[in-house]
Amino acid sequence: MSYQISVLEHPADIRLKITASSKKDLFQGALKGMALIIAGQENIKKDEKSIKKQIKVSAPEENSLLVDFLNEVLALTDIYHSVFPEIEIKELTEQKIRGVIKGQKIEEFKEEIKAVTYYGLEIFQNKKGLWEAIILFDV
Amino acid sequence: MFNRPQIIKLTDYLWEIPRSFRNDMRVPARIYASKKLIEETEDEALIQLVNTTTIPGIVKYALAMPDIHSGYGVPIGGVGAMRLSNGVISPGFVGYDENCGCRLLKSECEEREVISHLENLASEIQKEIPSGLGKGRKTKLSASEMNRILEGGARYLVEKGYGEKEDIENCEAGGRIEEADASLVSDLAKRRGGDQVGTLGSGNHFTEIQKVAEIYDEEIAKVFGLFKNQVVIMIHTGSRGLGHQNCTDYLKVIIGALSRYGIELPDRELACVPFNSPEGQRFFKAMNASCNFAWANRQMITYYLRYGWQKVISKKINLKLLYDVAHNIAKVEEHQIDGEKMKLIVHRKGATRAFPPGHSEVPEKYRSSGQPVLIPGTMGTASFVLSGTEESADAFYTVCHGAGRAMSRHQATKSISPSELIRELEGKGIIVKCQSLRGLTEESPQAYKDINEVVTAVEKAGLAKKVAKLIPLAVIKGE
Repeated sequence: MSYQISVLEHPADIRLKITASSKKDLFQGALKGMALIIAGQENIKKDEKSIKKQIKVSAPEENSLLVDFLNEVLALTDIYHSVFPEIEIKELTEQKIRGVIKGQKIEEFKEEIKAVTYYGLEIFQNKKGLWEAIILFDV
Repeated sequence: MFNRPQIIKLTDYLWEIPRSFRNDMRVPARIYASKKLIEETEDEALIQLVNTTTIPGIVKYALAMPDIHSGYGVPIGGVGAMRLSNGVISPGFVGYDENCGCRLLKSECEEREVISHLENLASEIQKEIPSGLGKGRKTKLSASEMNRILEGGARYLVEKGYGEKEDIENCEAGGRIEEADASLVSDLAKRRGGDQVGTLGSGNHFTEIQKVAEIYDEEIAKVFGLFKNQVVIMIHTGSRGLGHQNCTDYLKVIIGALSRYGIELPDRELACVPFNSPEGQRFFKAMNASCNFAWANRQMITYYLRYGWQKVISKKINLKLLYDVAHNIAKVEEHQIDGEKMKLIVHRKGATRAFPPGHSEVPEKYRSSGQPVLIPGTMGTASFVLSGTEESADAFYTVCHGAGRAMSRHQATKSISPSELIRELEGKGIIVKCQSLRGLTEESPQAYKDINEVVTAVEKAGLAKKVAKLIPLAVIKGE
């Protein structure tokens, strides 16, 4: 699995750029990026995956799918007071994602993400064949 | 890059981007700001304001307040009024924190009477009012209680004994919008907010113990019950996870409905549907329910604050509500357009309503002075109380909602260390209670515009009148 997460400047919110070797990795990378905003690396115990939730999201197109998927996970994060840095993807098409998100209970959230936005959303394959996404999180 | 030479100076505090700037603009854009503030405004925020002018049914102008900064879709500090007959309603123009707002509680005490108890009071408040992050309150609302809160707002909680009659009289909309339908709020949203009534949230949300440092207008201050050195408490929070989810849910529905109404926009976060469409009406009623939830949240926080105050300071005299006002909301209001009264759906995203003297929606006791306007500063800096004026009719009676960010959270955490910031705040005699040190630096005063510059622009532009300046004694951010 390979992806890279970088933080881009934004005056009020948090903008992440995810670069990944495949579309599946892009979704995984975006999920991990969101978990890092919420909990911070230091609060996520490595290999702790005791909370598992089935997830199934559909959307009219690929760009929306990534945002809608992250928003669904965000809701579960709030409800279960857990952070989900990992997903086992069972199915991924342009309009649907199905899988199991894995995570852990968390005592302290670092940041409250209100929502994952559609603003300036871009998903594309660059010249090197890598997948890229730029996502703005409203915090 | 934004073509700045095309911005026209109308007065020292009002600027216009004319319709000729871009072909798809339906109205001009106007920014209330000083020269310094407009120069500090980033290009992205100005582009977002121009995008806002393309929303169908928008009347007069797309407006920006002096604290404008870039957000998503509409800039923060953006205002847009749409005709009810052929205009639209937009979830993104309200924002993900529906009815984020401020309330100010007044004590009868001067600073010298409570100074020795401040540390205890701040600790008690921190204990009683969790941030709700990671952990909510211990009790979850039942489904029926949740529905009553969504339709009854702060009014329902006062009826249940969590407040007093004046809390309703002195709250925007009486703490409850009638056109709210709990059945239109998703189960997911209700589950997200299930343990969040009475919680602050993170980011720039806070409770702050302040003192009245300066009175600018003695007469109005008297009407508001404010006096020099008085201890007051400000609350800044909103509808928490429930509101965030509600906006997310309806944005998705409305993006899906755009083509049905032939609406084309430069940004998906501007997504909107006709106000009178089934989707528009469903969002309006669900958003109102979410706004009621936010008023209930601030009411419950008030309940716990009063408990803390009674425990630490005085069993006899408690805190009274000066006012509670939303700064992320869309409301049906009547305004004069081309000499005629017209019903509009006024969207305010990071902007505060400020009705003038004599307005029927201003509580009876403030009718002569105008609506109290609350503008929170940033951590460690001043906040202001103002009053609405007739001169701001052109701005749909609106003022700014705060100082406005000038630096990213990322940049802010890099530019000042938590210990430096705490030393700086404590050097000013301010008690700081905050669980996350990183959260603290993200909100450092350096990350924001100068509140004094912003409030001066508000007053000079005629949007509202300064009444009192408040300075912080203790900042409490979450558990």
